[in-house]
Amino acid sequence: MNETSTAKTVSLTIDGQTVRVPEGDTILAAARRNGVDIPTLCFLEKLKPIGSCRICSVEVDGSASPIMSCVTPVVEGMKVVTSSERLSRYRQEMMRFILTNHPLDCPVCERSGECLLQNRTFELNVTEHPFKTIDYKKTAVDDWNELRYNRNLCIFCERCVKVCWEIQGFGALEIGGNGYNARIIPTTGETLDCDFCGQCLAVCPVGAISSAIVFSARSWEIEKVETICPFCAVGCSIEVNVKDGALVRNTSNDGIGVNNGNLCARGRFGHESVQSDDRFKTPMVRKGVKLVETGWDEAIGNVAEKISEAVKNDGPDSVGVIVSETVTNEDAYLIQKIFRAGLKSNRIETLSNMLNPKLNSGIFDELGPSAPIVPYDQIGKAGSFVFFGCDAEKENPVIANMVRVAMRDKGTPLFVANARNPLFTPSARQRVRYEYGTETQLVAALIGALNESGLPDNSRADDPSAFIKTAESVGVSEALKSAGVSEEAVRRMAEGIKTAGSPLIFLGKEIHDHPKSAQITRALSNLANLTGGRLLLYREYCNSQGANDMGVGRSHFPGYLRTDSDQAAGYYSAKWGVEIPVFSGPAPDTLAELVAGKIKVLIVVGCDPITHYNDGQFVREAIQSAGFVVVTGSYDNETGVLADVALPTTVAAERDGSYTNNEGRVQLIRKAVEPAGQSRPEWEIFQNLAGRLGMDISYETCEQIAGEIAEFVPGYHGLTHNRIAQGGALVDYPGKSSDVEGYEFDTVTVSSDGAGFPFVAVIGNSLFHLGVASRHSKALNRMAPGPCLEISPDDAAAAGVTDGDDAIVESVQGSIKAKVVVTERSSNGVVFITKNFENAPATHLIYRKSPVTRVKVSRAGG
Amino acid sequence: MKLLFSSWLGDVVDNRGKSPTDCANVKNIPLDFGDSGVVSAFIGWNGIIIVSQPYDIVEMTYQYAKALQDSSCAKCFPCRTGTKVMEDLLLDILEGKGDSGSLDQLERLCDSISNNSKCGIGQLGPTGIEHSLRYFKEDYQAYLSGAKKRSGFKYPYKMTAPCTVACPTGMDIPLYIEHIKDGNFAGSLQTIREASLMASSLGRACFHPCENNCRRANVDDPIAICKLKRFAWDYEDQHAVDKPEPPEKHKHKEKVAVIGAGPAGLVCAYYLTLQGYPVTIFEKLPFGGGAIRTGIPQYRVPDPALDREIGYLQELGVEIRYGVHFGKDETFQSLRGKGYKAFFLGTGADISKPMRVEGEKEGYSGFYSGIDILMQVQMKTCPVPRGERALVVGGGNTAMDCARSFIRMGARVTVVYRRTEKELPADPHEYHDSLDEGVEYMFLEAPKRIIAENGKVVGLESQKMKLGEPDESGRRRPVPIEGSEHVIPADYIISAIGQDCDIFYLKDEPGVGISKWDNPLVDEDTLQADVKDVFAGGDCVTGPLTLVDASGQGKRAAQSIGQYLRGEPVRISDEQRMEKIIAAIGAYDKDEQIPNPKGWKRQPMPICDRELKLNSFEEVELGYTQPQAMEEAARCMRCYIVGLACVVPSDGRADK
Repeated sequence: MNETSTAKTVSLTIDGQTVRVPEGDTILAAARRNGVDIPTLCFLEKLKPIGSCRICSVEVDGSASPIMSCVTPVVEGMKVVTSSERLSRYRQEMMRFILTNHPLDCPVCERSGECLLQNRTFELNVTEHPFKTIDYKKTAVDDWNELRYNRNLCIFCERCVKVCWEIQGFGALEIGGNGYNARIIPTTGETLDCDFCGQCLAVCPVGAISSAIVFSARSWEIEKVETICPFCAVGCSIEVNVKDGALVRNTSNDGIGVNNGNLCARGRFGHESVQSDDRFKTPMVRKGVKLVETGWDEAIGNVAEKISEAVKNDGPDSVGVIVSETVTNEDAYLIQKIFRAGLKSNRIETLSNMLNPKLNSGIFDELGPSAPIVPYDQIGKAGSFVFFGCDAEKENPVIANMVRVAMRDKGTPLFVANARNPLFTPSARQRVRYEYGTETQLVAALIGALNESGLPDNSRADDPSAFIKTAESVGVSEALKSAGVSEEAVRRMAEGIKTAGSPLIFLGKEIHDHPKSAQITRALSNLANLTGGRLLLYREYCNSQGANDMGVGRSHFPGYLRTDSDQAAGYYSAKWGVEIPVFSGPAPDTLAELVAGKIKVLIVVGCDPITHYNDGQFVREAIQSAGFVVVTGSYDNETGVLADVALPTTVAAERDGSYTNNEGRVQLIRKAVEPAGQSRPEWEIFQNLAGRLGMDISYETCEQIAGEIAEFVPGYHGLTHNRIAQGGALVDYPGKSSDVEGYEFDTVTVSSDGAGFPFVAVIGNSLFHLGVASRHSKALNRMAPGPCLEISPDDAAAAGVTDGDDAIVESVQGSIKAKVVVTERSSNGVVFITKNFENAPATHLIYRKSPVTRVKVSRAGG
Repeated sequence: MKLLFSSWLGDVVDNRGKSPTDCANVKNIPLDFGDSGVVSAFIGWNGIIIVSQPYDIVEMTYQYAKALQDSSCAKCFPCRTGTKVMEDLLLDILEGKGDSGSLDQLERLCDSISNNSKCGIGQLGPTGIEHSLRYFKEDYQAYLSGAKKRSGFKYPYKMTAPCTVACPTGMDIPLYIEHIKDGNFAGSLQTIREASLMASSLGRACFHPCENNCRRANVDDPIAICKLKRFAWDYEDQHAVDKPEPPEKHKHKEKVAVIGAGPAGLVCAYYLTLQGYPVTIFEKLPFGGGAIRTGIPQYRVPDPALDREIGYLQELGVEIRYGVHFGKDETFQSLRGKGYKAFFLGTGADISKPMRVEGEKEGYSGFYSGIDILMQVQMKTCPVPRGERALVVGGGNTAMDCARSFIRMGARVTVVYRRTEKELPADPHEYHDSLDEGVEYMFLEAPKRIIAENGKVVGLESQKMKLGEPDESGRRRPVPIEGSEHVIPADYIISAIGQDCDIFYLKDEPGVGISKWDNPLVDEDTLQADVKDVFAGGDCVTGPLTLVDASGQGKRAAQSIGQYLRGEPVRISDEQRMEKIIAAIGAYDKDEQIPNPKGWKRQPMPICDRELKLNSFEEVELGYTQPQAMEEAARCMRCYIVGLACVVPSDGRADK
């Protein structure tokens, strides 16, 4: 909706009251804006008006028939009446049509009590059902894989069809057949084979669409707790539905949080992981070769003892911690404080920081005000979208939903550049496919083409010379020598971006994990600044951003103060009331230090580096090199096998705290169910440990830590739990007021020897799994039981594999078995392999000394 | 026509039990229904028409309710459920299970369905049922009392819409517009392509009879049907869209020769390809598009837009051989010898009609025929008339194209037309644009003589006219005013009064009949000539008509050719017969009062910079933006209607 202040307005009367509303309002919008209630059934704010239920009729002066208010725009001087005897009669009649043959299954229907049809029937006082059709037979419930469709209950409001098309871009559902025999049918063949975001389930006003996960509660027995989804960095608001202490389902709600009711498969169906039987529930210590159950006291005592010993013998640097990016800000802050202020150790890392410090803790040093963190509301304001090395539909589907709404409402053009061929609906204006490893060349060519045709007026570069320097020195055609993109295509794309203006450039995981990620990001920041655009880098985990913000990385304290700066050390010394050393010198690599035997005690908090970090075999060796390994987590995992002490932690639904999402919004997570077994939140465990170590670091509650963050951490000032409770709050990141800078970047192709390994492997997440937890949801495991190898039709033929085969994927470092998916989404020469499977970890294909992972593919057993 | 009964458009003529009398509201319904018999009655969105006995009004009404239900898209409740309840109530009555309550409920349903439905099926459909209940009570009583049993006549029906009826291609206009409203642009283009290949050209240069039959015009402005079609095509053109898979290529082996790569030929080739026939197009010019290319200037249909449209056809496997002049380079016999099993003649009307005035044939420099000069403009071989004075003789769209082309090349242009502004046959939109661009008009002037000096045109002797009695076309005939001859100075004179067909190639095939206007004679429904492997359509059959007419004929011919090649009877379907009936009855009523709020204005078309418009051949209209297109599409009222006929055996036609 346009802002009322700037848009043209229209004056009309509604029920005799003269009102002025923005031009373009429908009658329904105008009425609601002025507090007049018109009953609706099919209408959903986030969709284009559907107009199927015919309930929202009004009388308009000069029109003989009732007019549907949801689809009719207001015009100047219109006289609208929203209630009359005639309208009531017709609305009741419409309800009677809807109710014709609707089964009286309310006592057993899972939507009972939250059913829009029940509500409207009651509100409109529909008490008799005179209509019948002959030969009416109930039909069986359709099995739609993860969903169920009951045609008998379906009222054909079309919300499911529309949400899947307009918001999800899938178009997996349609109305099949005509007239009374119509039914909702999948467009994907006999049954539903889609992304299983469950948007259709969420918008169904009745019980026609339900989840395959049996829902046994009645709506009035449920308590809903609003919290944040822990399954990726988008930061969607969810409602955890609890009955008698049991988590029965996740829902969301239009209008709350950043996601407007939209979720993905993980968010909607991943909740089984919370109360899964696989939960790790009791502290354990190694006795001999076996881990045996013990109490918290002994376990923590054991850890404290080993740490004290290591510090005493080998100094504070002999204790290190790898922190999951799924812990809360409070946990992350406390852990780094214990290390820096308590132990005086700076051996503190996340996996992302180990892999790519420049785009994590170092992001503001690297890019200043051009850092790729952008509020989501910019999506609706962008002139164009560029997906660069980003499979938006599969990586962060809910951000893709926001993009899609902008494309629907504004026609914002989309440009896609990728080494693969990710698809997106609606269609892109242009897709270019580059050779993996030549990304900076393509960007240089784009900047060169832009420069040659004249920089746009909205360029942010007052003096463009630094921004175009690399491009100019290379030249467009020279830059493209090995990129595999035609000059014509590049010039067309540059022109397209320039004409549309202000691109929002999305960088996917492929770029984050790329051997040249920092160079690519610098190059793209030039492009963005020259065209008035911005970058948005996809983060991976629910608190990847927060972990960086909280200083979980060797280079920076919380709030991006450098650990090698006297001033910063002084700042935190003053705040924490204890002398903090200046942690100078180049940050050493944790794995290298482990292998070199320098880290004696390693604490792994909430993650499984062996499954999730590059070159997992090497990671295993490195961790084995530590004398004493502590692992915390909510489930058993590969790294846990190496633990000397294993400590059970709560999951998000069992605790309070905050996450900072991909746009830099701090949001509150709330406890919905009791912790499984003896599990505890990380802050409690670490605070206990601090006590055992004799440190003066102690908090009563998680909220208290948040209070300290809100007081001490630059950017987080004032962001207490109270402040973020409603809708969260954006972090005030450094460097906002400084001028953007242009960067030089190199245009060297990065590659690895391809002999014997014909395909470049891009390794990433599927829609259904991320990290450890999702593997403990039965529903998500049904959707994706193991790794997939996406391969182009040509490459599949060359490798002798066909769709659905089990394939052996082999690199110089290892091999895994994966299910073959032959798809146009892969381009020739590049395969995509899904990770997160501890029994077949794609990360084990990565060899730390090869910049680019290359694989060969053969049929298993062939 | 003479009728037993009519409630059509609300005026009731009731001759039951008497002799049929004339009914002004209903004209010339084609009653012949081939082997099935003849039409005795009709029911639809405006009431009931009874031509003759026998008929069974209750059975027809039941079948009509069933047709409404079968046509219901299920996207709104009153139509989806309501028409089903009506169908079932009527079936009860037919089976003797009904009672007077059934009739009351039917009346109530008619009211609530027609007042609350989403589209024409529900809004307009119940009118027929309502009339049936109102005027044929005795017929219902006969069933209710058990005295009457079902007659078992045949009831073909057709779902269509006023815009669709007006479109020579029969395009499902409401559907493609709904797809645009829903943001399903690929679906929209697919729907368009089911009726015509030429979405780009039609979306730019169609004279859009649909918009003249658009019910939204009765509320405020007609839907921009034509320009929405262009949007659908442009969207595919401007996006990285995966093109549709080619159809089952060459499922059949019989080759078809299409003569002429104009709109009729291209469209015919397209639908033959979709049926699986290998097609070769023979085109005498070095490029395709026919009259679209040579007759429509670049500022309306730019070359790239046409090229990509033709390219789409070629991607599907159609071969186009340019520079092959049929009748000279190849003949019927030579192509039959090469294995072609059928011919489609789409050779257009590309020779200029003479003005029959003195000096026309002298070869004066500066005198051109309209189609020649447009061709030269297209080929860029045209002289540059900057600052010179050009006269364009004629008032049709070709005259407009010539005038507006010359304006763009810097000429001062005057159109000379023998009647008045009111009779001007050109599209009003074209006329107004030409005025805006500075074209001047001299009305009631008829050329008499071309005046030249040293072989170069210097002026036109013209005679003033006045309007006399109307001629057979209904327009008032221009009558010369004696002694009013005068000279209009001119550097160029362009004759654009019409075109004829060049069918010299038929000398090789004397079996094909020729009309008095020199067109190949073909069956008006099937477009088949007397020689059974020859079919023809487009301007060469109709004389210079429109792109959309040619497109419609190309598609119809492809259907007939397919039937012929498969050894099936070459004939139109029942549905197509129903289309003819509905077209005769008329699906659009310009006086209809429509109960929708007024004032939802048509989206304005963005146009190019004015300087560019006046001084170059840049495309004038830029096309709708996506939000504009979706907004415009949302205005469409989806005026679907269903018409159903009662068909009885021919021998039962005589009144009993």
